[in-house]
Amino acid sequence: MFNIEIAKAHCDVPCGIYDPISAQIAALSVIRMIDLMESLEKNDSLEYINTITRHISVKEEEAEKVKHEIRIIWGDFIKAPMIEQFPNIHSLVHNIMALASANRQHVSRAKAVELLEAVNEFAEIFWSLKNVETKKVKANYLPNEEIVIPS
Amino acid sequence: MLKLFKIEGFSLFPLLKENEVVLCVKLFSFSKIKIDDIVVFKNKDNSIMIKKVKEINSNGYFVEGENPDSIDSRNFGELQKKELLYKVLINCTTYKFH
Repeated sequence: MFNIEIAKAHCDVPCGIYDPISAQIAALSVIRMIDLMESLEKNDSLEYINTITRHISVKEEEAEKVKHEIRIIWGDFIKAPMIEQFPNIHSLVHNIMALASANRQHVSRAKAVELLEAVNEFAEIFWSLKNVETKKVKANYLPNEEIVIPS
Repeated sequence: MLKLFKIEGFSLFPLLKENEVVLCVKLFSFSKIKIDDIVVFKNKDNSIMIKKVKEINSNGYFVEGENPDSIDSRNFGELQKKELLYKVLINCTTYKFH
């Protein structure tokens, strides 16, 4: 009579696959695009205009991708009890949105690094919610900035 | 007659939180079920689900979670009375004995 059965109070129809690494790679790409743009020698050639335009375009896309990927985890994975656990999650996500927009508007390495750091903080919270230990490692590719990954 | 269920998932948060245990009473054809009762029933995949009765209409019992992304009657429609297995009496995890 007193066997305890599980009663499901489920939400959504989730694929269950959530990982902030996509947002982290996108944030790294924003930094990389800024590095490439700054390393270009300015001139009036079509070649230069073509290259800088492509870098700007990728920077735009990757900054937008950061917003998209973070929004999915925030909206679909994060649930009310998790917000109680990490009450700063909303302001952190808002900050990521603002930083990603700032990176679309400007060419600032400092702002791009700030974006990556905010996304890393989000990744730390995400993995902590899944009870997964994390570590900081330098990415094995340029711009070689630090990212938070499961240890 | 009485049965314990452990909550899995967040759709009834903050009413019922994950891992909380509720004491339920078995429902019969003569049992009274009213709006806001929390009921246990079998889903189509045969798993046991728990939701709150939001509305009782001519089609049956419309059950919902507390959150907008809950899987409930908004997905699978109203339930018939015979599909409702148990009704929550108390939340054993938060119940205080005086």
